Amino acid sequence: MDSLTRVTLAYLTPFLHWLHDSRLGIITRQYHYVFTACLVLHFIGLSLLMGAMLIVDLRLLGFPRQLPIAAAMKFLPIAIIGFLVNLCTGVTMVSFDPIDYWLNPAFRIKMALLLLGGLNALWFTLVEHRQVLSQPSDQRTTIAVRTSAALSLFLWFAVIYWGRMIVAFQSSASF
Amino acid sequence: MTHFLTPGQGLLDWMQSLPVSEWITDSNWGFPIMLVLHSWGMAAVVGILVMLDLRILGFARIVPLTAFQPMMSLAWAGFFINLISGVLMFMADANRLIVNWSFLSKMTCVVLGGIITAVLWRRLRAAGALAAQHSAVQSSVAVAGGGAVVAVNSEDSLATAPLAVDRSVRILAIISMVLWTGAILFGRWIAYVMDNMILHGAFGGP
Repeated sequence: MDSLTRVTLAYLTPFLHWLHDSRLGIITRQYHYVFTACLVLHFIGLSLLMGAMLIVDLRLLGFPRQLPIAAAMKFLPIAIIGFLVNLCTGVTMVSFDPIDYWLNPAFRIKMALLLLGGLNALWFTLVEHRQVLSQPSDQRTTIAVRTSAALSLFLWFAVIYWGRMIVAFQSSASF
Repeated sequence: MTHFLTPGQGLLDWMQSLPVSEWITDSNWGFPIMLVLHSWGMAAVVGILVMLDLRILGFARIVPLTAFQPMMSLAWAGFFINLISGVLMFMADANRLIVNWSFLSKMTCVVLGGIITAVLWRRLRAAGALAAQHSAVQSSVAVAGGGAVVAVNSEDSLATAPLAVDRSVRILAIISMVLWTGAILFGRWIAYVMDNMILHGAFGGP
């Protein structure tokens, strides 16, 4: 176990145990179909989030130009709904065996990427959102906005990649 | 095993014996990589098509339908990624998948979803074409009256399509969303129907 894993585990162990012993964890381990249902919903949430983010981020990057930016941004609530679906189903699946998940390098990378994605979204919301909405639609977005949009797309696709790798990295698949 | 596709047994065995099938089955990364590609493709094709469906059902009405024209090429790209990764994963486990009811249900949903989307898109175009004729009449009137010529092309026609889309198109949008959800549901279920439940340890589940 590398030192970063050890340190983060030391900090997170109380929380991971709390999640494991919580009512949610007990129910998830008792009824296996809860986990299965969450997995299906996780993919539906993923589609909502990614569909909306593709439209928003690609428009911020300039594609398709005939779509007004303010109109593209109308899809953001769908992205937030998709994210919340995946947050709830994700926490439920992790509650099945939280320590096992944290010991999985793919899961830790996914969480780190999610954190970066969240910070990027927060920065965009607080700093750029208002200015982007008010700018004329035929005008090119600033380099900062385009960087943020490109980073957002990269991070979300990377989150999917490492999410898929979780099971591949599971040493003892807990089926 | 007797099955309606048994005459094709040789074909299924041949698929599974191909080097690419062996790579997917036996290597550590073959199967996970295929699943990653399949998820990325799904994000593009289902994501974009569900956004189109939601727009048709009245969400984000200020988004012109014409904006979905370039987006459809992205949905197609996602579809092709999934076609290729899907065919490869099928070849790697052809004999078990061909008798997997969940896999067959997924394929039914995907094919019907594609047909419904094509019909829906044609309906939208038809509605757009009507709007184009309408504005063409208007612009010719404008020309006759000494006004500026207004260029009308097929893209503008979708933009000027009535905001409230036809009831039949809205029903198609609902069916489309149900079918894509079904494709995801049955896709996830394939692993649970498999004889030993676990395929290379690469499917999630408790």
